[in-house]
Amino acid sequence: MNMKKAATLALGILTSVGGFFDVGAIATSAQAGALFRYQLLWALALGTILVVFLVEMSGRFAAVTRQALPDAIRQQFGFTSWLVPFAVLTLIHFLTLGAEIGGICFALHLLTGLRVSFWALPVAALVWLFLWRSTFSAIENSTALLGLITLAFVVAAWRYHPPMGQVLAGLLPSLPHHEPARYWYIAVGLLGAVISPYLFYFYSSGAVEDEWDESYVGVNRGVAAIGMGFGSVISVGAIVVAAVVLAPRGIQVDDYHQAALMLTQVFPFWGFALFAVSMGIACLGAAVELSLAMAYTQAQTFGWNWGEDLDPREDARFCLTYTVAILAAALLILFGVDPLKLTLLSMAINAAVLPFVALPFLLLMNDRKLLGKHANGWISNSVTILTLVVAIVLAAVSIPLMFLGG
Amino acid sequence: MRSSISQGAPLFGALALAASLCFACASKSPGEKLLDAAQPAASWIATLRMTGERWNANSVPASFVRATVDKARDELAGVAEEAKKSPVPAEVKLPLQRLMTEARAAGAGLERAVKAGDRPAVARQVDRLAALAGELAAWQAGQEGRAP
Repeated sequence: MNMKKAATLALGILTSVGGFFDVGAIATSAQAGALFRYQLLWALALGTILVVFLVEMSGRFAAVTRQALPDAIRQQFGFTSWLVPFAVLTLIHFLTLGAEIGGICFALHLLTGLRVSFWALPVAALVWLFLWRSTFSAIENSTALLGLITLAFVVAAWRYHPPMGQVLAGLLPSLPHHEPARYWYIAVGLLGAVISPYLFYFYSSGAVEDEWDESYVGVNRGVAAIGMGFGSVISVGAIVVAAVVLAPRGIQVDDYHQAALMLTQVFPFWGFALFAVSMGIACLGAAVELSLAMAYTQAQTFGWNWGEDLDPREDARFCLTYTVAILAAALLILFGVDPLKLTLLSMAINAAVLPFVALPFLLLMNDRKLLGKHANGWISNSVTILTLVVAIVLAAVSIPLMFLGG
Repeated sequence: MRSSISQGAPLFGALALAASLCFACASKSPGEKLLDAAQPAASWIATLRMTGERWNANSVPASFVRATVDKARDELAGVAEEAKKSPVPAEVKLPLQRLMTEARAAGAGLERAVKAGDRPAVARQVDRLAALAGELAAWQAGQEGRAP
């Protein structure tokens, strides 16, 4: 492996770790730890396995075919077949973008004391300016490297010396002792937070932007497996901290104010600011990536020019898409939608719609005419199908439960 | 035909389970529903208590205490309202309504003490919240014993 590829691998791993944590991970991990201690770690482990496979597959596809996923799905299956996954993706991208903008606003609310809704438009302007002025690699590397601050959750968890037996036992699925509806809903939320479809659609467009070719297949495998694997350790850290700090006091996380107390015990003087900054940076990185993911999907669906490194005059519709998306998502927060409820709803929908957005992708990955020797083998297919089935069954059970019965 | 049914079986099974659980949730008695509604109240009282403790340890700013108290008071008022509307006997719901009123007052006291920078007063409100948490736990235990 030459120096350039080694550097790409190292940077890719660091950015995957730093970029792993976002508002969905914060909300679902805090809720899971506070209510069920270590019992839902299995959902996180399951989600991590699936996301490693999906991200590896999307990077491999882009490296071999030099095409992003929406582009390829539309070309292979036709525009009409792509419409349903496209509509579903656009909806969940939009809701998740709203949740991420809400997360940044909440972080600023913690730091300044000003209302969450006050920050909606300034935050939208900040995200937009970041996209308008930056190149793809600057966006990808800066926010994700700054996101390494979220490792604070791992340090905190380590300092609490959690009972390793209980932590390991949590990796095996078990039935809840109380609040079954909420248990399954949070399990689905954890899965949805880890396997946000924007991740692998964004990743494939990013690989095209970075001009990956077939020689990057090994680098891609390392980034997906090591980066995503270690990234999920941050979520484990958040679950452990919530289990140690909030659960014994009987504090559930029904609001982000409750989650904000998580680090104040282990880091008494700067834990509060650390939580706010971690949340703000993690959500900023995700909001920027989501805005780009929306613009990529629209542009690749309708065959427009696209590319974050292009001058806005060359891809005006691409830039207009993320501009409108950011503004519309910020309006949700401006008009008082609860950021935590929006986050949990988005994460549950993420898990529920996975089959719609992952199945066309899976079919594509088995096309030997397109991918030749790089097409999926039985291991990738089996793991992906199995975890997708688990996700849809859990979503089919928990979402009606929360809305109708819970 | 057989294969399509067997492929759909997990999904139908899941939906059937969801429907039966929904039915189970919907058929809860008023007492059980009130018990469920009281759970977030216990969580908010614990949150107020920890917020006061962390402010006394210089770990959170006064603006955070104010925002948390505002949110907690709204939530506690919601539980009190639910108790008021509940068809359970007065001897069950009145103690819960009283606890919610006292918890909101303790929250307001905490906010005033923080605004005044009065650490001993904050500690007193934290103790008051701890006592209320104990009373609420006793009320919940009593209702659990009463539930069919």
